[in-house]
Amino acid sequence: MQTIRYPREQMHRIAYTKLTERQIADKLAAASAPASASPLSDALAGKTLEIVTDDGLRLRYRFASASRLSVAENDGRAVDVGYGALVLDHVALFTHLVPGTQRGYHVVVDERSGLATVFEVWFSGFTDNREVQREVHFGYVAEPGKAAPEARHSLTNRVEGKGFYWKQDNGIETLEFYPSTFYSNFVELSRLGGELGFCAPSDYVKIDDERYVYSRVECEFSGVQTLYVFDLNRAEQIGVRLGFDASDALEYYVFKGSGEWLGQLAQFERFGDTAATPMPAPANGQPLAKGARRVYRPMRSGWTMSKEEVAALTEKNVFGPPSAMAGNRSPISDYLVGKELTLKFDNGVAVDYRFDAIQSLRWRHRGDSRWNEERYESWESAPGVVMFGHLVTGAPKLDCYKLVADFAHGLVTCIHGTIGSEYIANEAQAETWFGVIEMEGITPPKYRRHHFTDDLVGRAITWNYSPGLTSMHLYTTPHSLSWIIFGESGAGGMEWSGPASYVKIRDELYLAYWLEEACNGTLGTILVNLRTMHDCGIGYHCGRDGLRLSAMGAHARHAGRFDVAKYYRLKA
Amino acid sequence: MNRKTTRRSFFGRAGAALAAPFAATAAFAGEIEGRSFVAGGRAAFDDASAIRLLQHRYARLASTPDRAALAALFDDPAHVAVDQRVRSVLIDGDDRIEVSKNGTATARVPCTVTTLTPIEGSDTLVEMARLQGDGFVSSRARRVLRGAFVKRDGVWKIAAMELEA
Repeated sequence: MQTIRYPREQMHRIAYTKLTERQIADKLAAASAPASASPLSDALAGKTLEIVTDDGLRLRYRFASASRLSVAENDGRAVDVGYGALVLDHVALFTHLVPGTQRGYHVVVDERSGLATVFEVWFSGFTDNREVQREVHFGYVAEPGKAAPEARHSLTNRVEGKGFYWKQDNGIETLEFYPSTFYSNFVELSRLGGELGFCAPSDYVKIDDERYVYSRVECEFSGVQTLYVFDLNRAEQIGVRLGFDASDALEYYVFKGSGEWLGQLAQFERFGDTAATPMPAPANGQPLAKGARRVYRPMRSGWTMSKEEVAALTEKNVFGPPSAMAGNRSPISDYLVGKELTLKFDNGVAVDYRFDAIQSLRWRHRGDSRWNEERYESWESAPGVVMFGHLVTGAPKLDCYKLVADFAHGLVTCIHGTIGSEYIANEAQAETWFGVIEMEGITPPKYRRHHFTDDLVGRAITWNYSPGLTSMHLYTTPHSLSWIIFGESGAGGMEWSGPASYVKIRDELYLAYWLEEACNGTLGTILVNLRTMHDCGIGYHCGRDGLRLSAMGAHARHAGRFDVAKYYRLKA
Repeated sequence: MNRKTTRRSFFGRAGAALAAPFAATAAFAGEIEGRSFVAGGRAAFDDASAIRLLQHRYARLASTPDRAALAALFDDPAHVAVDQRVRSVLIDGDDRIEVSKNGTATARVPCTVTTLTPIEGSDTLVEMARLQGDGFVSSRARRVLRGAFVKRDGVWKIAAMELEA
């Protein structure tokens, strides 16, 4: 009996239904109140609350019971609706929809301070109607005869760098990383089997030094929102999930959860900077639109090509002028020049090489008589360990080989890149081949090989590619990698992720690749040297400007580590 | 060209440049000559102040999207030329203003210029950086703000302005 439930498609491959406004309205109308696996709190039953927010929204509540309330928006008429509330210490979270609309509210009230934060949420506010929109209102609970408090909950960077394992009361298990000030990364352990991490635009609100509100919307995926209040010390959460799942069923429930603290990554803002990263104002001077947020929507940029377009490509750019991704690349190595050798892989592929010059090689598959000439580049990352790559002229899928050869140990690993997945014709795919070096002076091992590893899993490393271009890799799972773009202040910003793989070459020397699937189709491959804190690497991309094989190179800094490897191990 | 008779030159900050000759002349010259000199000095002071103000306004507006306000400083708005990469122009040195009798002037003033140069390329990281409002290389350099000015109907305008390396 299978114990891990894997999805038929991972999130980035699901063709989510374009729900119509009518479909959404009908589904919402059928939901009288949020579900809950735990008993709802009756802390608000019998009470009235008037919440006043700084941007004018005013909500007047009367809680008839633990499941029914009436709400009046601003000066509007009160309407009755079902709700759900949960309490975490002195903080209450309640949520409800507004009958007859596609709107609702998630309200966080701090009983101790009298402050309130309101997440106004709605559907059908974007091209994808199913994507939950949100506007965050900061305010307080108005009390007759009492002056309004001056303090407010606020957006913050104080959650940046943290990570938690969470288990909800309904059995849902996730790993959630917050390496950015407006994005986050989540691994669905129970829903999706924990193979990949995914990213979503997120809000982080500070309640006090121990408690925060986190909210993400899975933009470009299902559009579902997950919001929770969490306590850093106790690793406890109360939350709400609202949206439509992959089968278009409404998910609207509140949950309690408890978790484990996974670690803290470094922050790179100036000391003393605890502010959130503000949303840039529009260039035209207009105020921000309601619900405006920065969202990376890679599949809307028009990069995908048809099979016919790919087949018609003739342009090739093989190690042309270095891009911004290669500003800090290592010098090209002449280690291979003059060598003749065979790389013999365990899958039966054997490739003969003659390295004629520093950027010119010949290769042929074992058994072929004809040599193929290619342009290549190579870098000696550690003594005797050389990374090099080249196109495989004549191969059926615009193939490339990216290789790491360890001449001190007679071992080689090849990342075999091809163009075209079953989803997108110009998207790179990869497979990993392990093998040995056969040449004069080397007797390769019979059994030992480079091998897949989870040594890097959970680690975060910054990469400065060139002035002004720095990102952070977060190696989220044994099979995925996330990259975070730093803003001008040093705060983590936009984030995305893709499938990845990690191979151990030597101690502190790792070969990693990631696929920018459903992103821009690139296969990035780097050899990470954690002693020199420098990588070398090769990008492989197919676009309308042709097929490109390009050098990469960046300086690294350790940014911390999450203790997560144990969550990915298969257990009896 | 005899620069002494055709131009009034000011070195350094206006207050210091004007105060010394004005004070000295008033003490020793005759009344008519003194009055004339005072009038000339005030005119020179007014010219220099107006030109200096234009320089500072240009420096402030050069990095803003308010092109209309910037164009209003120019004699011919078609001559507005701003390096789009300029993030800020900070005037931080003594200026040199030379005013001709024909209603034109030139001025030079040291400044520190911060430029943001877009990172080129279509790599994912570059595109994401652009999306979040970054994707630039920031650099600071000492430059000279050099301008030509023209007086129209008693009002000084910029004829041309450039940031010299």
